[in-house]
Amino acid sequence: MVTVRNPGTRLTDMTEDAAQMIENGAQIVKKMGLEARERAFLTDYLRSSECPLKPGSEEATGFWPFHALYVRRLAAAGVERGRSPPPPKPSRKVTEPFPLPAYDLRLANPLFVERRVRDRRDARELERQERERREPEARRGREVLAAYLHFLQKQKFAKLKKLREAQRNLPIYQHREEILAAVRDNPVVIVAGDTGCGKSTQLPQYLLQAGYNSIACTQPRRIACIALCQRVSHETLQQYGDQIGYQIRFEKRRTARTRVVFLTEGLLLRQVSADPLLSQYDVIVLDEVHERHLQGDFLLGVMKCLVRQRPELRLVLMSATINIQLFRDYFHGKAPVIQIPGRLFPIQLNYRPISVVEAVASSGRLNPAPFVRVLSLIDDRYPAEERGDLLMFLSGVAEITAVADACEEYARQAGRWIVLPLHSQLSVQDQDKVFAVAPDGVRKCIVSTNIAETSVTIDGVRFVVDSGKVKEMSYDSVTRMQRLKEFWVSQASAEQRKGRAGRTGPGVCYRLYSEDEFDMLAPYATPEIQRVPLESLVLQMVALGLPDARRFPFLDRPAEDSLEDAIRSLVQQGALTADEQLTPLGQMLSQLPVDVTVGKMLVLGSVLHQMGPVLSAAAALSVQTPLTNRAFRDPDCLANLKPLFSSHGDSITLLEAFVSWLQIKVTGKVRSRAWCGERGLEEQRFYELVKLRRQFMTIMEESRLLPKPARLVSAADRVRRHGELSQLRAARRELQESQPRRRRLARGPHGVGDSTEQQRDGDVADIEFQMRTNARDLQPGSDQVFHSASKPFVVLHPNSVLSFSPETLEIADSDVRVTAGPRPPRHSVTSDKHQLLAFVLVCDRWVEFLVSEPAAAQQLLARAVTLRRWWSRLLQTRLDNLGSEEQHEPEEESTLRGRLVAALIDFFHTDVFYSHKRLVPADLDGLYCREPEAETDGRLPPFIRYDCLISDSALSMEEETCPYCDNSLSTLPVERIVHWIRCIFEHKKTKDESAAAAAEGAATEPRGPVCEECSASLEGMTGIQILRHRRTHRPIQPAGEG
Amino acid sequence: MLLSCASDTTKTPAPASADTVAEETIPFTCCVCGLSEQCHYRGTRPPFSGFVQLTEPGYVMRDPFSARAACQLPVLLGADCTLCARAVCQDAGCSVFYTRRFCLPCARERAAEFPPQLRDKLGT
Ligand SMILES: [Zn+2]
Ligand SMILES: [Zn+2]
Repeated sequence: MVTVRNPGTRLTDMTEDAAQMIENGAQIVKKMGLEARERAFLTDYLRSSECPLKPGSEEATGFWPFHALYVRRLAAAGVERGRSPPPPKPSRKVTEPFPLPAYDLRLANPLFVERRVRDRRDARELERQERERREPEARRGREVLAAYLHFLQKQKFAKLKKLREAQRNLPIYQHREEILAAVRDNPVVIVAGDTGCGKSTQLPQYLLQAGYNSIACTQPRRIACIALCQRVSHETLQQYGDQIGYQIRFEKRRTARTRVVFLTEGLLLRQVSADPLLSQYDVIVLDEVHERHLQGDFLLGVMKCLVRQRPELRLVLMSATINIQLFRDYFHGKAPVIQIPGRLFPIQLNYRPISVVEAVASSGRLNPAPFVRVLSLIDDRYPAEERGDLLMFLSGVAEITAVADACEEYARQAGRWIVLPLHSQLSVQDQDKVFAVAPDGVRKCIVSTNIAETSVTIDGVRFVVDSGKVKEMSYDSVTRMQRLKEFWVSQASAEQRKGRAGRTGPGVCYRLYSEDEFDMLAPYATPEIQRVPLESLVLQMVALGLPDARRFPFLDRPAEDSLEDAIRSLVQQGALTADEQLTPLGQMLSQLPVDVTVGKMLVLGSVLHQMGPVLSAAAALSVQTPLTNRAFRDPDCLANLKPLFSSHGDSITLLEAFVSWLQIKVTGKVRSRAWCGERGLEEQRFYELVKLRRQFMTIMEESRLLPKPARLVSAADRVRRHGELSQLRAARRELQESQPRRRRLARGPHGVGDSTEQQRDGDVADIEFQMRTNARDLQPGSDQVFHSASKPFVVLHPNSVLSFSPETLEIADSDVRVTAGPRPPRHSVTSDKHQLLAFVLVCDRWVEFLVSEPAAAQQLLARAVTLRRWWSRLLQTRLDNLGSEEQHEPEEESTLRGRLVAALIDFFHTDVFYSHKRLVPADLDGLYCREPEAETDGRLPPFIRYDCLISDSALSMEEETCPYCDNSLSTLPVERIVHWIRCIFEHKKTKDESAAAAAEGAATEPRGPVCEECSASLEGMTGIQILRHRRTHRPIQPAGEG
Repeated sequence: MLLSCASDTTKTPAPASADTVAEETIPFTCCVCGLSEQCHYRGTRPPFSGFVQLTEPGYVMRDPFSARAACQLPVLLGADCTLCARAVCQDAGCSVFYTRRFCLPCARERAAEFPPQLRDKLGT
């Protein structure tokens, strides 16, 4: 009887069942024919723990078809199964095997199958072995099984041999000994070779075979770390077992036995901060140094220092054959260069410059005609039977669309072309189309960005058209804005593009510019360090203990200004002190691989426990705005959008839009696409936002600024989820290129992706943060002109929410109090309704607040200083607690946070009348009339300098008692401020406040937040909710409704 | 002048990985094609391959393309030639197996003594 085995069945029941079944089975077998007995024998054998075929595996299921073939083959040969001639006894001594027995294919198999007897004294085992030697079904079964296993192992051997041949055929193989000798004799060696020469996969293996014990190989992209680790493990046949590993920001496969580790540049830098000498490694290989990423350049500088301090350390730089001289010079010509020539066929070069008249179409866009002409030229010159595809390089998506449309038009007439655009914003499916093979007589015309220059390799390209243009992020350090701009490519890029035509055979390259223009091109692309803001880099340097960024041995020095700007900005952000020391905030920021401004938002969100909205806001500010131009031009869209507008400005409006979109998505009542359409919102941006938000969250978890979820995510999961498919694929392609003669590439295991998730290249750190100016820097002036610390007279973008409701920023006449003061009239408009748009608590040498009542001013100052002190204490506490595994927030931290939040909200509702003005440099000249007294300065917190503007006597005070502690106060303002700061910091209450608290009976929760206007409890509300609630008491008319 | 990278040089270097008890391997090089590998076992009864055994003392590798397991398909790299005793790989271009292993150079010399069905495999 077969019983159903439910999970509750006890083990003993199961064994009894099994024993019963076996006994029943044995009786049945006796009655069966020989064939069935053989089948039963084999089934049993295949299931045994001594069978090397894993049950259910492809190899195991392949057995039965093989069995059928084998039976037929032997029958055809007239060989009787199960009666193989006995193999000779294995002996090493036999040197004369002749004469050989007559031909029998079974004697050509060195493998045989036989149950092993573990204990020779065990009579039952011996008996079974004897029976299986004798019984015909067992003899037949063992024979066919041996044949199958032999067949399988021969296949594996062939695979191994092919792998070894592929390795030997790689161009780098010829240089193996040369490289190893150079590494042995020199601290720094440069290996230059193009994609496909095998350097990334082979060099680590050579080093391993040469006996180096701890090798670090850095990669610019983390997906390459995983792929290379897998590839090298495979190529070394796992012979080194877990000795090959990888380590990337979110996970590692690395043990104490790991000898080669593939890691990202950023990660190696982090290791430098823990172990400045990197003493755990004896060789460090920096791959793809020619890419000149910020991190790569920085790492190179750090390594240069390190080689000095550790002469026994070996450093290997691997680069494409671009600008090798630069690297050679960087090491004073002392590093030997080993050049590995790539495999390249001759390429015929044609310059076909576009005339000025023709360059731009009447529409103002790029004129596609010159590109289309190349298609017809190819059709004229080269017979259709001669295969070969065309690859066009254009600067951006708009240009690609224009050219692809025109080529499509031509293709319809000619009937010989398939036009395929290629750029990183395409879905994976569409990107994959470029790899399909075109039918006979038809050529592919791939219209691509520079993605096809190095990252993606398409086989079969014979013709290349180069527009000579590229779009890159450019950064303006004055406006602190990044934007995509079209540039000429470098000569190196142009050569790279040309080279794409000669990978599989001789090729042709058309440059749509003149030879003179080519000669004018910069030899190499501008390195990232000269294009991007350097805050993150400088911060990392300081965090690494490099005292002065200005003295760093840069490979290419960044502009002096951009370095100084970065330092100034970091001081301004509070990441560095005025004397350029790291602050606790700076230390936290240095651990986040994101832009400093975004990082600061995230840290603030974490410390104030507002992670949800802050993650969304940070992501929203980091992707392109979902608000299209249509949203503001189309009156319907604008009307639909209005409810989402926030009087707190664009950031909160974006947040509102995102939250509303999410709700639409979640409820599913309305199609989100239509919803976006009605509001002129670009839905794709929301998807990007979601993705980026998730990445930020992972970063925060990794930095322990957010508690980690219990479930760990594997690389494969993440790759799938984050839509990093394109990268994975590119990395895989790159690796497969190192294997010769691969015609087409199989689809990866993650063939299907969420088409709605757009692909994004690069690491999180690479994500192009496009919005760099932010409303937080803005201070209202007059007439809707704004001043920020770095840039005066900023006009709001016409699409800013605040431009649509200007009155938000204006002061109602009723709120203005005209005071007779010592100041000129233009300053005498004071009001408590000036909108503080940002958390600017310190005036930072650019804005002056004038408060009419000295006492109020001192109170205000004391409270601001206290806020700053709580804030830095909270940050420091948080930082101290980061290392601990403690799940719960320490009490000290939560108390501090509670106080800070309550005090912040109070501060925002301070009823103090003041006026303010922007200070111009001329004002600053006479501003500080004297040096502050050291004595008082020492007692004040670091955020204020007191007593350097006007003399004390001008502000003599009346005698008073402290509202917090009842002691009498000094008449000296500075004494008074110091006293108040202490009182507030110690969290004393004024008598009024205590009385109010007692009256409401809320004594259990000191300072439990209560709305002053309506006395409603604000308990449990988030900061934003509280602000929102308070706003309800001060309604603001939406624009256009008055 | 280079600036110093070290902010804290008192840190002791990471301890050398203590247990490098990598499995013992046996070198193998084919006398014909030069294939050079490390194998895990030499003999007729590989300890890791269950009921699979060999009739010749071969150089055996664990299946290099599958994860480690207690019982694995033995991949035979090759064996010593019966006649000249040089190690030779199992590639059809390097050796032939018939009751024993013969390297192709040796087998060709004695081609006449092989069953006719095998002679074309010897490339004579
Ligand atoms: Zn061989
Ligand atoms: Zn021989």
